[in-house]
Amino acid sequence: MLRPFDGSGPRFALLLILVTVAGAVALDGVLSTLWSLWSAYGSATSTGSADWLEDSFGCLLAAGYDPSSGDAANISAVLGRSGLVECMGQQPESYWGVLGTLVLLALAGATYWLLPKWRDRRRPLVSVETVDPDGTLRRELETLHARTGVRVQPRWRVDPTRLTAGACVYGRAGQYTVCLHIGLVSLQRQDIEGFRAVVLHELAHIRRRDVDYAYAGTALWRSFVIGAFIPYVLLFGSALTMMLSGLESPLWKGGLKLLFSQNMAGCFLALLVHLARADLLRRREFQADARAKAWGADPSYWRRRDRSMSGVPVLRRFTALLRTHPNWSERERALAQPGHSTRIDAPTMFLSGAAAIFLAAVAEVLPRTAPEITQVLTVSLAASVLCAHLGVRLADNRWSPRGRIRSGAAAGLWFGLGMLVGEYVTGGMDRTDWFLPEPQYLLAFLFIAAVPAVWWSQCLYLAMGLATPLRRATATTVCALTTAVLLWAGLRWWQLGGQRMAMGVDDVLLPDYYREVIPGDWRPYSWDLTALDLGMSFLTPLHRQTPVIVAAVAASLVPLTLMSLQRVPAAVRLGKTLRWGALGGVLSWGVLAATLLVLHARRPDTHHDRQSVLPVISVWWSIVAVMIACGITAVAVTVLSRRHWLLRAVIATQVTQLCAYVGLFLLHSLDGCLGPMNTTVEVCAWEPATGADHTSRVVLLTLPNAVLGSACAALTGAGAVWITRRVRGHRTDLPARPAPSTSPTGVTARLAGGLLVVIGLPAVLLTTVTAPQAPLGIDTRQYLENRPRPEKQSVARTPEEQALMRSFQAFAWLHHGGTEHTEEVRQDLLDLYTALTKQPLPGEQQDWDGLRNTCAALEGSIRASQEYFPIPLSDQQQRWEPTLSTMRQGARDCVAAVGVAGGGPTVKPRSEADLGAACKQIISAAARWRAVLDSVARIAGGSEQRERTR
Amino acid sequence: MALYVREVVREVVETSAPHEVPVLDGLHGFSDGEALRVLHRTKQKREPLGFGFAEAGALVTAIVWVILDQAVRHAVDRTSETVITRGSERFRRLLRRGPAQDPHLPMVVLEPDELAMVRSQILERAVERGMHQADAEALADSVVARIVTAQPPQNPPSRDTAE
Repeated sequence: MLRPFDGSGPRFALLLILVTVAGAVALDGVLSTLWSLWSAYGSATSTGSADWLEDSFGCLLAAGYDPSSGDAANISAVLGRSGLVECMGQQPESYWGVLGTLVLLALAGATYWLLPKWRDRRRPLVSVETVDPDGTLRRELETLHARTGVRVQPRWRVDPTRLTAGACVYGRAGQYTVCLHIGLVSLQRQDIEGFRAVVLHELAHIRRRDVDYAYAGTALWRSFVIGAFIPYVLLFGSALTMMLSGLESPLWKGGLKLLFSQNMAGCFLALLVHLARADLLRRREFQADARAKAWGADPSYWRRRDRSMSGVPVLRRFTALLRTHPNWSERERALAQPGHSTRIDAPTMFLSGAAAIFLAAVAEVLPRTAPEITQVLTVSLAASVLCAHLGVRLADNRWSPRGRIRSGAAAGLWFGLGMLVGEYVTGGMDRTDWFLPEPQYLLAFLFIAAVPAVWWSQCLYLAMGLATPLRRATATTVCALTTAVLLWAGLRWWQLGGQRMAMGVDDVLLPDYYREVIPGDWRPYSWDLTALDLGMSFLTPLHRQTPVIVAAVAASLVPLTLMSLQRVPAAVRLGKTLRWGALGGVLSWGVLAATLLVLHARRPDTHHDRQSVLPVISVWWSIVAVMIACGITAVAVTVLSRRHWLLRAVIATQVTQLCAYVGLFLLHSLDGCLGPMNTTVEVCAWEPATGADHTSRVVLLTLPNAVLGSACAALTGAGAVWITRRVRGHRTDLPARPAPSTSPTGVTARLAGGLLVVIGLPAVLLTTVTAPQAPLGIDTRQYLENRPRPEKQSVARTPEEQALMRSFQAFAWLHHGGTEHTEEVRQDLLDLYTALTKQPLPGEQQDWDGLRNTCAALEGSIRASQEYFPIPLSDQQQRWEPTLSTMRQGARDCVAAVGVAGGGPTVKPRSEADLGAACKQIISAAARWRAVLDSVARIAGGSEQRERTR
Repeated sequence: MALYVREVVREVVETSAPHEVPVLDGLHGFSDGEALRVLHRTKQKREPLGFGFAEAGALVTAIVWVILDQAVRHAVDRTSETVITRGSERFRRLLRRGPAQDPHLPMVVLEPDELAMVRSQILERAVERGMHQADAEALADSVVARIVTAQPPQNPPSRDTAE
């Protein structure tokens, strides 16, 4: 059956949006740079200071970023600085890109609109009547048009300058012109079937609206190539050349890498879009061929020999990908295979994956765009592409005689590979390291794409087995939404955790945090803490994401519902899956018991440590136990299932998970009664509150993660099975799907419904109950902000460069808030001095309240100064922080010494001696504070000095 | 009334390859130079949504018109009175411009050796482009026959001799 929808529409939309957004970003770079150059040229005589330190880059420098050091050190330096977000937010947003894009869009629109007229003028086309005095050609064309049922009435024209027996179609929305080559008119009198094949092919293009797609896409692409990408590559390429030709700057190392990556990304994007566009157009050609054949064109006309092509086969294959038209052998092959036009090619999926990641990367830069919006946009487009392609493919192959179900794994893996490459290229635009320190984490993208792809394919297969169209449509919508959220979950995981791990950011946060926050003897558990730190990097990114939790639950509930509503219940057997899930539950109890045995053997001697240290370790190993049991169950179910392996694995995992939670609750509620499995409690008692607390902490971290992790494990298991079968030479085909002849039996439907409630309800309840809690009682935000930062590794550079870098950082620190905060502190110090030295007039009393308020104001301004970035120059910061702390303490002591404000005016201070000591402390610290400030200002002054001399 | 080359071509095409008549109809508004450029063109630009077969739909037209045009221009050169006229004609041709006044090339009288040359060239080109030998010969003969019938007798008998 020939479908009007081949799944390429979402891909086209993805491509157009990518081109527009990437064009906006490129234009912003070009126009902003040109504007700043122009401004600098115009005001060369006025300031000459380092303007570029006053923008977002200056914020980074002020926060401690150093472009010449590695990514890991930089991330560690700026991670968790709330002031940085604030500083960035205060920078004016650039609208150059948006304005330029609007102009280019208008240009592209005008091109699209005027192109048909321009073509008419450029080519001397003649009417059909000119070459057809007897009207046979006109009659034939009318007949063919009527045969196809194409509603739009095209304009028929003849191009007398083209002697080939071909035709083309062009135009704009609703107004199309079919241009027959004069050679084709001649062919009509000789070989009418050949003539019809060509005309029907062109009418098929009209029917499928290919004219709009092709010409709008081409107009947009060419406008952006000429207006945005070429200027971008020229401008930044010339900057790169300047850098390579011997520019001396401490920014050189990082800047060179960044510029190189940005140029590479631009070129990669251009190649990507061209390849994707060519692929789309080729696919549309295949569709038009198939449509023409369906309308009665003789397929023998597609059996033609291509011109012999020379060259290396690999190169030929690559150049074939660049062409917008397939060659004859490809066309013939496509026409011979019924489902060819909806076939999912590896390049198609690869390019789509890369395009999705590129869009996510470039859309972040757009002004006034929340990251959530760009993520939703990207994920919805990527999910539409995946769902549309896999869905159409599955619909085509649903009733194939061999009953083979396409899992979608290959398509998903290619999509993931595209995302992987896209991430590597786009991630490089922000990295100063040439190579990713831990690139193996990028393999996560294979799972990020393949799991939703397989889940969608298998669910859709079930959805198509439902009885009514309404049910099918509803199920498809729910499945598509869940697929999108699963994809989003993967990308979110990467963004919040994977990316940092890949960049090798090695900050042992949690072990240090626990050691500091929970007093006790942690020495026996150092290995456990290391494992916990690593594990938490994987588990924490998604545990607070409510949509992910909902999707994880839906991942098992939706297929369960679909299986229970099947037209042919016998086709999907659930019992075995549930039995495997229950077995997994038993396994989980075994693993949990083993964990408790080990913990019992290793528990600390003191009661205090058992109450403080052990619970944290106990929760962690419970999490590991649940994850292991779920993973093993998922792999086992996958290996043993032949159809719907992922869905079965997820359902079984859900059963295992729920069993494990029940076991966990019982074991920890009965802690003290379990003999060799007792951990924290010695007295035997039923303590449901303890069990619930422990279980809820485990649930919070494992509810989405166990499902998603098990899905990844199932995919790995399926891969292993596939490889084993390939090695052994087994066929993976399945027996034909039974015809829908029997009706559902009431007993089976009721049984499945009951199971759904039993399994589904607890999962939903758990989702709602555990969502607002914190894992392991962690609130690391405050700790993250104030934790000690590792010293940056010294990088080899000349003293001159080092001095310049220091001056840049000092300037940025002062400019982005340093000066403002120190000015406030200085003013408050002056006020204090005035208040202390002011002699009361005769008859007046000393204003103690005023003094207290001044001290309080000073304390506040010093606190604000401490909350701002530390000085990025480590030697200065070492002197700076103690002086600030001393002054703050002095201000606090001053307030305390004057006394707490009561109902009336304060008559005398509480302790004059304390007040004197506090003031002395403030004054002596203020002198050191001033000295540090002067020295920072001197270093920063070097920046302006150097900028002027350069 | 002058007979043009394109008229001779049309008559030949009407008899030898009637399906190619639309090509001539299409080229009706073109000057000879433009038409020949179209017929000469070998490389065709690809259209975004173009589809079709590479076979040229104007085989006979292209062969006959191109060769006849060359032969007639050669004859014109031969009969040109001065070197300057000849030079200016060649220069004009170099610039791909048509004849000074008439965009259509009129037929001139061809010598027997030129006729023979036309015949052999048509035969050769037609076979080269995939035509059967017999068809090619028939085409070449029909062209020559049409030229001969179109041109006035070469050596009209003088009145004295007639008398």
